[in-house]
Order: sequence, then C-alpha cells, then structure tokens
Amino acid sequence: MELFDYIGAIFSLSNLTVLILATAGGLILGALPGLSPTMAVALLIPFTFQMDAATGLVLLGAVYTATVAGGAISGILVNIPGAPANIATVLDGHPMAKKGKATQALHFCFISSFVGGIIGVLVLIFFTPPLAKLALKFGPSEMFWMAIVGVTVIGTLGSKSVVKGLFSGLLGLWISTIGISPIFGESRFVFTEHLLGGVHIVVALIGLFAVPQIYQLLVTSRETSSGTLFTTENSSLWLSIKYNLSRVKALTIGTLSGVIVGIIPGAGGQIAGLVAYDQVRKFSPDASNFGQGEPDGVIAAESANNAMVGPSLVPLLTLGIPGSPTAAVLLGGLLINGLFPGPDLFTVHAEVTWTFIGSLLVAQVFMLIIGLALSRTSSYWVMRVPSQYMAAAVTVLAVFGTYSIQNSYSDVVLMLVLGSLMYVLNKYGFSAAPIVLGIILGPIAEDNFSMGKMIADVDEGALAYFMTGSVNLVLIFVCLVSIGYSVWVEVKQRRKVMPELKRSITGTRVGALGAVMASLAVMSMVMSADGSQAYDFPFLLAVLMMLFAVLLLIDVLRTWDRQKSGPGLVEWSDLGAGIAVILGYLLLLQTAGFYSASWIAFTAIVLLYTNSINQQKIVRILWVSMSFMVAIYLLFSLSLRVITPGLF
Amino acid sequence: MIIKTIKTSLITVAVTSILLAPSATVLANEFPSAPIQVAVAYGPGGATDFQARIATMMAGNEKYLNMPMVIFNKPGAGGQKGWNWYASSASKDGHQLAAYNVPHFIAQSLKFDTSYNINNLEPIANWGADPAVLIVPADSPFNSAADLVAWSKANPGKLTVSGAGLFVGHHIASLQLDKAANISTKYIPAPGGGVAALKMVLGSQVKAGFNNLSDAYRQGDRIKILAVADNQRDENFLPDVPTFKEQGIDIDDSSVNFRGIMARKGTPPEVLEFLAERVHLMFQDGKVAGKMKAGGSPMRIMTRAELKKMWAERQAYLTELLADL
Repeated sequence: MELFDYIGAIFSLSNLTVLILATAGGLILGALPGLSPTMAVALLIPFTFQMDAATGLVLLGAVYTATVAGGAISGILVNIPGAPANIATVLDGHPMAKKGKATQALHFCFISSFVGGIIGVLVLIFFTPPLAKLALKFGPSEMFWMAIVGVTVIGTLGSKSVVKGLFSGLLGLWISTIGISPIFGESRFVFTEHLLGGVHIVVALIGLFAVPQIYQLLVTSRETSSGTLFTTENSSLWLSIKYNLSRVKALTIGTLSGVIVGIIPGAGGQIAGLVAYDQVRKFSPDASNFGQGEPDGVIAAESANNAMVGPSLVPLLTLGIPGSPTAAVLLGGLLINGLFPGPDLFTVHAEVTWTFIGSLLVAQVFMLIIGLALSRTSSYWVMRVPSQYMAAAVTVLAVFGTYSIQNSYSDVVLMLVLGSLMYVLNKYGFSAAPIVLGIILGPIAEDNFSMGKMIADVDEGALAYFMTGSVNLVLIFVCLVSIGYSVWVEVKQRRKVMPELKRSITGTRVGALGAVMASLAVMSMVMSADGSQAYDFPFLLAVLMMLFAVLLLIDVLRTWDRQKSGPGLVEWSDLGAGIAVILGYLLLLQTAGFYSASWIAFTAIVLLYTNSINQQKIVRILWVSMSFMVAIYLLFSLSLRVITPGLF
Repeated sequence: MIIKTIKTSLITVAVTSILLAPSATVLANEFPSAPIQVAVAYGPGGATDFQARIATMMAGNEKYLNMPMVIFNKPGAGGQKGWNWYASSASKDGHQLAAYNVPHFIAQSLKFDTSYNINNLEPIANWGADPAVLIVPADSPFNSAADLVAWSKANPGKLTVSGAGLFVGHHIASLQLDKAANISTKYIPAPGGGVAALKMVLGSQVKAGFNNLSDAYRQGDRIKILAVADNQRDENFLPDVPTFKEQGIDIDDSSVNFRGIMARKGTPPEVLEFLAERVHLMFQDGKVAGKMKAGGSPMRIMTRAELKKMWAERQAYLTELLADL
C-alpha cells in the first residue's frame, strides 16, 4: 500500500497546522450562505502560491471537506443550507432543531459526514482505475437520464402534495432556462437586464431558503415575547454516536449514493444528498416521519455529500475531468504546482499525490472532532439570539453572500425578489427544495438532451441514441422504479389520510389559481417568442405546468364545499415594516455604499421588531449592529477580498 | 449601567472608524492609488481565471505597478455578462481593468446585442495565446487531418466535433475547417466549457473535437492531436504536431485564443501608456513565466500597439466569416 510510504509527510508540523486551521475555517465559511465550497477553494488558490505543492493541496483538500460539512450547520440551526449540497440535510435537520434536538442533529451530521467521507476517500484510493473508465461512459444520453432520475425525486421532496411538489419542480426547471442558452445562443425570458446572466443556483438557494426564513423570524419576534428560535435539550455525545452507528441502512444508502453521484462528472455533490435522502425514505417502513425531524434523513444526506468528495476526485486525478464544480477549482490548484492529472500523478509525483489523498483522510478526523466540539456551542449560541437580531443578521449575510458570488447587484435583486415570492408560495403549500432541485437539474437535462439530439441526428436517430446502451437502460429502469414507487406511496397515503383533514388547509383555492396563472404566463411567454428550437424545452415545461395546475384546480372544485375558509395566510401586518426596510435596503445599496446601507438595514430591522423599546435597548442595538458590521467587513473585505461598489 | 454601555459603544465606533479609515481616505493624485481590480468574465477555476491569477501575481512589485491586482469573477452567458458590465459600468480611471478573450468577445459583439465592441475597449497587453487543436479519441481511425477530411467527404454532415461553446475559438476553427476543406462538420457546443468538450472526445461521444492546446497536451496519449490551428507549430509543448497549413488545409491563426488585459475607452491616455508599459513588463517576469510553464499554459506576450492591430484584423476577418451564419 503506497499510501503508507508517505503517511509520515502528512504529520509534519506545517501540514498539521494547515489541516487544523483549514478545517476549522472551512466549517465556519461553509456555514455562511453564499460561501460555497467552490468559492472557498477558489479564494484560497492564491495563498497556495506561497506554499510547497503538498501543503497547498492539503489546504485545498481540507477546506473542500470541511465546507461541505459546514453548510449543514446553518441548515440545521437556521433552516438555510450553506451550499446546494446541504438542501437535503435541512429537510429533517431543521425540524429536529425545532423539536429541541439541534445538538443531536449536528452530532448526526458530523458523525455521518465522517463515515461517508472516510469511505469516499477509501473508494478513491482503491478503485480509481475502474471508476475512471465508468466516468467516461457518461455521455450526453447518460447525463440526460441521470437528470431525469433526479426529476423523479422532485415530486415527493419536502412537499405535502405530490402535485404541488411537481409543479414547484417545473417552476424551477423553467427558471433554469432564463438567460442565454449555451447551446442555441438565444436569450430567453430576459425581460429585465437583471436576468441576462440567468439565475445562478446559489443565488436562488439563498433567496428561496434565507428570505422566507427572515420573514418568518420577523413574524416570530412580533408574536412571541421571548422571541428565540428554539430551545435545546442536553444530549449526550456518546448516545448520539451509538444511535448514529446503529443506523446502518441510512449510512449505507447515503454513502453509496454519494459515491455513485460523485464519480459522474458534472452531476456533483449538489444532488448526492437529495438522491440519498429520497432513497432512504423510500426504503423506510414509515416514510411519513420524514420532514418531521427523522434522524435518518440527516444521516443519509450528510453521509452522501461527504462520500461524494473522494470519488469526485477520481475523474479529476486520472483524466483531468472534474466531477464537481469544486473539483474544477482544485484542478487549477494541481496545475499551478505542475501536477498534470494522469498516471504521472501516481508515479513521478507520488509523494505529493499520496500526501494529498492521505490528508483527506486525516481531514475527516479533524472535521469530526472540531464539528462535534462546535455542535453544542453553536446550537446554544444560535438559540440565544433573539429572532429580530437573527433576521437582521441573516438579511445582511444573505446580501453580502449573494453579492460575493459574481460581484453582481442584479443577483442581490433576484435573491430578494425570488425569496419574497417564496415566502408567499410556502404559505400556499409549495416548497423551496423542489424549485432549487429543478434549477440544478434543468440545464443538465436540457443541455444534454440538445447535445445528444445533435449527435444522434447525424447518426442512428434520437430514439436509438437515448434508449440503448447499458448505462442508459439501467438509468431508465431506475427512473421507472422511482416513479412507480412514488405513485404507490401516494395512493397508499390517500387511502390512509382522511380526505376531510387534507382539504381543510386554507389557501388551496388561491394556490391552485396562482398555479393556473403562473402556467398561463409561462405559456404565453413561450408562444410569443419565435418558435425556434431554443423554446422546445420551455414549451414542454409550460405544457406540463398547465397540466398540473389543472389537476390542482380539479382538486379544489371537487372538494369546494369541504374547504373551510380561514384567515389570510400571510401576516402582512407583521411584515409591512420588514418589507419596507428590505426595499429601502435595495435602493440604498445602489446609492450609498454596501456597508452603510447594511448597517442602516440591520439597525432598522432590529429597532422596528424589538418589543417595548427603551433607551438601554437602543444602545444595545447600536452596539450590536456596529460590531456585526465590523465582523462583516473583516470577513468579506479583508479576508475574502470581496470588492463592494461605492465607498461604505 | 447605561453609561457603561454608551462607553463601550463609543469604543466600538472608534475602533470601527480606525479599521475602516485607511481605505476610505485614499488620495487620488498618482496612479495607481489603490489596488487594481481585474474583472474575469468566466468562473473561478477556468483556464482564463487560472491564468489571469498567475499573470497578475507580480503586480504589487514596485518595478511594475506597486499595487496588487485583484481578480474578481463576473461569469455568465459565455462571458457576455461580465464584459457587458465592464464596458458599461466599470470605472474609467484605470483602477478597474478586465481580462479579454479574443476571438470570443469580438465574435460575440458581432453576433449578439452586446454593450461592448473593439471600439469602446482599449487593449493593454497580452499574456497568452492558446491555439485550438484538432483532437480525436486514442482509438480513432483518423491519424491526420486529411483522414478526417476524407471521411467527412464520404459521410457528408456526419462528422461531430465538440468545442467549448458558441463563437469561441473552437467554433471559429470548426467554421474555418468547413470552409477550407469544403466539408460540413456538426459542431457540438459543450455548455460545460472546454473540459466538458474534451471529455466528449475522451469518451468517444463525438468523432473529433477542437480544444485548447494546453488542455489537449496534458491528456498525453489518451487522445490523438491531429493538427494545430495556428500559423506555426508549438515548439514548446507539441513540436511534432503539424499545423493545418502544413497538411494542405488553409487555416490561419484566427481561432487562437488570445488572453490579456484591457481598459475602458475614456481612460486617461497617460494611465493607458503607464499600464501598457508596466503590465507588458510584468508579464515577462521570470516567476510568471515559471508558473505558466508549469501549468502548461503557452505564453505570448504582446504590446498595446501589436494588440490594436490584431484586434482590428480579427474584427475584419470574423465579420466576413460569420456573415453567412
């Protein structure tokens, strides 16, 4: 075992220091919305210029590992996934926190990440050559089916109604078509300049998860006197470990899904967690626990997205083809040090390569220790922050996080607009996870279908191209099983749940009407564009959206007399002030500088949402807001060198 | 109690202002008076981003700009988003520059409604040139450009060729091949960029591909490189691969991907001249050359005057080539 020849190098003082610092830093960066693993690794590349090759790569590898796990912290505690990879973790992680099990959820998250991460790296060490061959088999047709497998998951993801889930997913797929089509070069649905570059996945992620949470926090702070998010019980680490390791099925499914998704170039860890989550729920005897705080959901999702890290390096190290967006950035890190992916890496540069791979194993250990140590502290800390402060902090962080992705003010506008719409959609039973999954899968499905069709047209024809080949057939089979299973569960549940109970949810009518209007709007936009090839996919989406909207409408009409009319679902009276501040914030960002605008917004939100205000409270608010802005400045401008427009 | 809190808040304010002060009180009498920002219209990790970071790493040295250059990414729409922003909103005092890719931005300005074109941008200096090369899978029956052309003539319209996207160098090279050899290739733009296009060749999903010389070179014997779309061979990396011209196919260097730094029109002439001189020198630094060579990135350093001429030539040629599209 060649690894052992080089294991000593990992434990040099400089490498160990780098490992510890990178892991701790990565966990914290990962927890901030917008600072995705990809960005963290990209930001660090210049620092590696000054280090020797092995240390530089140890740094990048450790940050990659830690940021992927760190994204779960904010997901579990505040319901805002730090990166797209952590969406599935949120589905059960945050409900667990609300039940007072935040610390326990974080324990499960790090233990599962550790198990998945170790196995993922072992796969990288032992199975690289055969896996590299498999990775190359994934051409356009295979990638298309892979995306469709993802689509079949959408309907049941975090939604109470399959039809609403599918409609949300279609909406996400449609959002992904906005902007310039990379295949046809045509700009689609760009009705404002803000949409020219399309909707970036992390921008959508922050908007759809963080903004509704901001509004929710504001409502909470008005309606409760203590105004904190949740309480938390003591939980023993030992019990967490024992329980976590006894969930063999969830760990196995999670790790396997992560490994498989990691190898497929381009799919990336963004969907590993979701695929694992869906599988573990389907294999569970009591699927209805999921979404209510089921530990297995967290365990599967987190083991999957860390199991993905090792295998995603297989195509990178052997072929120079990165398996995830972050691996793409790592490629730059390798090249700068003169390490060309390929056989040379394991012969000529064996020392550097094995030190790097070995350090990924050691990084998992540090991630586990530091993560577990942070679990209790961070959940106690978040628990004690009053809602209005949390809302203000999340608002400012969301704006800075979004801006720093592409240095784009348009992204900030899109994030706040999408998020505000999402708050309303949430109230009418649509959820964010399927929309985000739609945005991730849209380009994979459409681009690969278009490319595949172009290739097939000159040869055997599209039908033969997409329907033959062993990988295609396996994926089609998985799709059919997945759809069949969802239908079966839906039918079973309909019988079990009392129909009256289901229909009493207010807002069914508005939800259905809104869906009809949205689908008509999309259809009219598609029809008014010249019917070029670039609109084939959006047309298909519009048709499907109309179909599901009609299904929702039929459901409403069928049960009209059984629906109770209730009060309005959106607490406009509580939210008026908050919405006004956010609008003012958007305007100020453009006129004043980012820092002064953010300081004003932070202070205004807390002032307006603090009950029974007095002089002492005002001083405290000013003090906190100022310290917070200093922290933001230190983090974004000084450490991450994000350049904000205007002065301050 | 209240007095104590007021005291602490006053201290906080004082600390804040000290921390924020240095960057706020920047005096603008001499250029450069602050770090220079360089916008890259592609995402982190891509070849342009990666090379830009190396090319600008010595800027802080007093021999060059005496101020660091900070790369920031504005990706989207194949570079259009970043360049649109640059040509319409960036500052004109020389503190905000951008990296360019020729022929991409020129071709885009001809085919799409963009806010940039060669007339509202000023070249500063060029650091690299990555020619497009024609590649096929290792087990492909083609061993020369002639084999490939002959097959395409026997099977009209059936030659699939992957490349990094629409109207990038690879696309231009494929259009040139069609014209010079009188064949019609089926160009497949890979939305994932050059690496994704390369993977389609590695996996034999397409018959051939145009890709960056640097990326193709790193693949070693996993692919075959049949021809270089440039005026001369690349003596450093691929001395044994002939050009198209050597193989009797008339393709010049119009598809070569040139990378360098540009400014907005309206930047003061003395600032432009200063940048043109110092940035050109900076690209020649031994450390930059060492890192570039290690990363397999071919350098071609060009002056502002040479670039003005090259941009205008490309503009004229591309207008003609893209006219029938």
